Amino acid sequence: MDFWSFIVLGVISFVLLTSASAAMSLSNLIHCALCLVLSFVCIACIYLWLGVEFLGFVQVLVYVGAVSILVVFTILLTRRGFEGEIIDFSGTVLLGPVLILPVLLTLWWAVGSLPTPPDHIKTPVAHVAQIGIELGGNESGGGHYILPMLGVGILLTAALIGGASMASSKRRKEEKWN
Amino acid sequence: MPSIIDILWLIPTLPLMAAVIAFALPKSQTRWSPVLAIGGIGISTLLSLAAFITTLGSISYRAFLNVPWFNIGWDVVEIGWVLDPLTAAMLVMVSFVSTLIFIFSIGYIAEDDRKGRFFCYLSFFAAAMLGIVISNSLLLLFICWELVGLASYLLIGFWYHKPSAAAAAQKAFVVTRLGDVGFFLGMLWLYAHQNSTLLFYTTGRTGILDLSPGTLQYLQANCMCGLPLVGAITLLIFCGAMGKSGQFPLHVWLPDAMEGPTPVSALIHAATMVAAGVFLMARLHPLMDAAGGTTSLTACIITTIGTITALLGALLALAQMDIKRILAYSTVSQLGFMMMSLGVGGWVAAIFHLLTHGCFKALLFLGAGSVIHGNHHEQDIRHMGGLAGKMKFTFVTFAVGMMALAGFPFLFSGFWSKEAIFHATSGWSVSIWPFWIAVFAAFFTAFYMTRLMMYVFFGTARGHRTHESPAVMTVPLMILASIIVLMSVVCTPAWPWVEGYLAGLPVTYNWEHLVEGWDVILLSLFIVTMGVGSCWWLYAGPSDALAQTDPLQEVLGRTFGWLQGRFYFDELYQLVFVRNFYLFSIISRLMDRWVWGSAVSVAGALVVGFGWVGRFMDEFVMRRSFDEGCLGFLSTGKVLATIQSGDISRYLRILAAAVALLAAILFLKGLS
Amino acid sequence: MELKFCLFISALLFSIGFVGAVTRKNAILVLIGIELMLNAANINFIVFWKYAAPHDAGGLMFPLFSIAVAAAEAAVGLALIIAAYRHFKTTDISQMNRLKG
Repeated sequence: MDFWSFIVLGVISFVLLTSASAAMSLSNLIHCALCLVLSFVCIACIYLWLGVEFLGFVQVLVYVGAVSILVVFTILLTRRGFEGEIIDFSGTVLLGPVLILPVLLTLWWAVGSLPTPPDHIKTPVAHVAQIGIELGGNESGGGHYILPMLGVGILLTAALIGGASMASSKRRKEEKWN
Repeated sequence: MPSIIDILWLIPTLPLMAAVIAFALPKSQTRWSPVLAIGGIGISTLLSLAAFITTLGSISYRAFLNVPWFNIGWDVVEIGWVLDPLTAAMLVMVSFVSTLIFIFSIGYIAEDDRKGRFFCYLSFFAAAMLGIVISNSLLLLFICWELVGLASYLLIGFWYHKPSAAAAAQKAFVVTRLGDVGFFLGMLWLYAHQNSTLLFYTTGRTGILDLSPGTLQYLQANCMCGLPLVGAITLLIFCGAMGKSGQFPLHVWLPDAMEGPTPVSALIHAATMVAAGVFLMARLHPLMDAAGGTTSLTACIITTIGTITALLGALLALAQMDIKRILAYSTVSQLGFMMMSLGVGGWVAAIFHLLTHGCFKALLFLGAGSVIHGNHHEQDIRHMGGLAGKMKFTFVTFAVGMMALAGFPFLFSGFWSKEAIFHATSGWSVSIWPFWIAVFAAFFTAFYMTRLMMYVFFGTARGHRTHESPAVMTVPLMILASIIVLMSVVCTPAWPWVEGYLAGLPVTYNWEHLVEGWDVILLSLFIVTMGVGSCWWLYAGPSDALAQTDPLQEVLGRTFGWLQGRFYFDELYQLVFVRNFYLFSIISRLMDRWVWGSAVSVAGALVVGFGWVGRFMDEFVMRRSFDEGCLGFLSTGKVLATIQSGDISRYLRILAAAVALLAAILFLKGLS
Repeated sequence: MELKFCLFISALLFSIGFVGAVTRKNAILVLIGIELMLNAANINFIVFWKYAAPHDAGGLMFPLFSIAVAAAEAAVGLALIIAAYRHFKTTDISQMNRLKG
């Protein structure tokens, strides 16, 4: 492996982990959202480094472009003034690391005990055209993922409609609840 | 033209239909009921005459028709009717006498407002009696027997608002019922041993009276006291005849049955119903022959009872003061004669006497009815007298009847039939006692009839004003009287076609028969003369004195009181039987109310108690346990619900812990 | 070698997201943690696809669909948070405890 590419990977992963930690631990919500965006971008860079450009672009488009915006909007919509948001760790802070330790250990050991993969085989080229063929299919084969695509389409539609209806304000019902 | 045997069933059915229609007539139309009744019985008379003529065609004619009625398992119960000389003769007598009595009743019952019902009952009775006569099955005969008893009950108690009439009706029914128990038992016993379901004659010669050799052998097996089986059965059936025909122990109902209207007495208790017993025994005479003939124990018993009855009836008639009672005891006595004759083997003589007796006893009763009607319903002979001048037709016809009953020789049919009975009893091999007792009874018969005549028709009038009865009543009397005289000419022993006809023997025209039994003829002549003469001499005094004391009473003294009290049989029965039965019925009622009733109540209470127990179980055990179970569920649910604290952080932590646990398991699995 | 390193990175990312989701009180931050976990899983898929099973197109397709589904889920979850905010007037999940037994 090329030394410089390894350095690049290391830098990217360092930024990723730092921003992720920051996203999880900062007290200001807007700062958390911004760190989240940074994390997503780093993940996209990792995808690019790995050679799956399509997925990187998708990552940027979807996560950075949509999910982050959604998060920001929600933060903005659910602001309640600036007090009462400073200490917002539930329960003891130690509980988190205690719970994560077995998971981490297991993963570490699992990763460590992996056999070495065979020699660097030819990296598959993940052209968009090939992805498209794989997804949709053409005369010579492919198209194994038509049903999942349709399912995802329905899911997204449902999510759209459901989210919109849930988030919309219905004055009458609100008054009743109050 | 259907043969007579096919339409023989119409003979009883026509009066029955007339009775049904008369029953259903509304009050406004009751004037049609006599027409219906007389129409029905009139047509039956014509059919009976046709049947009679048919039987004259051949010697010992017998035709029968059996139809299946219903099935019991494998057996088919058949009923049917038979036409033979016995049947035909009885048919003619019954239907003819019934017709005349119906016509008489129009005049007698004219003032009564229930006369529609009267004719209905009369028709019903006629139908049942004719049914007895033609039936070929003992079962059908028994059914009609009971129906005749029912009709008798209805008719005796016709004036039911009179307590004596109602009591008399009940007595008649109960006493005849006692006899019918024996009849029924005999019938059942016979059914158990016969294959032909109680038919008299069948096409396969398997009837009761066909007496095929196999049947004979079976029936003649000994059962007890030296009686063969058939003898015991005959005696049991004779019990029924005893009840119906008023033989010795069960004679008590006949005199009391005079509470009914006089036409009823004439029809039922003189001519027909009481003759049914004699008819039954005559019909079953082959069984008696199979039981051992005239010397068997069965025959002895029958003869004894008949003899006792004959004498008893005659004695009691000597001392009665009610015109109808005298005639009733006379009937009892004559029935005794007939039974006696049956016992000694002279069933032909008995039937012959039955036929003539039917005619003259009906005549006598109708005459008495005319007398009663003319005297404005006065029945005590002490208050009558000298009616010979005032009621000429009645007197003449009554005299004819009296002569026939007394056995006045040569001109009246009663003489020949009674003489036939004497002839039969004189030839009995067992004993000559019945003959002599019959002779005595005949003497008494002549005596009491003359006494009656003296009281009622001769002498001076002791009663109120009287008048002759209307023509509708006297014409039947005259018809009957002329029949009696006619029969005396036709039925002489010189031309014994009646005996021959009935017995199925060829008839020869022989003058010698006339004088064959000359000693018996002479004897009966002597008796009749003695009877009439002695009575005439005794009662020759001034008739006004008859109202106070009876000359016979002076002669007999204390015995007269016994005779007038009818030997106090009724009182004896009341003491011995009736009181105990009454007690028994009270006990039964108490048992029923307190013992069986309370048993039923206890059962009911038990069931209700079970219901209560069930309810309590349900309410306190089942429901409580169910409720407890539900409450347990509820509390468990409450406990479990505390798991759901609503704290989302806690949920997340639990999830995380689960993942950690899973990871630990994987790790450990991987290690091993 | 790259495989293990990348896998290790994704494991760490997963843990960070996990800890955050369990520890933080704000609902939005819980969702952010979930997103991080999902992304870590996606990286796993891609890494394995590239280095161990490049013949299997599923290794590329699955993350693709996963991204789409995760986006939908984020949308719905955030809409839920807004709706819940309208009711409870806060996004503090420890205040949202009405649904208790």
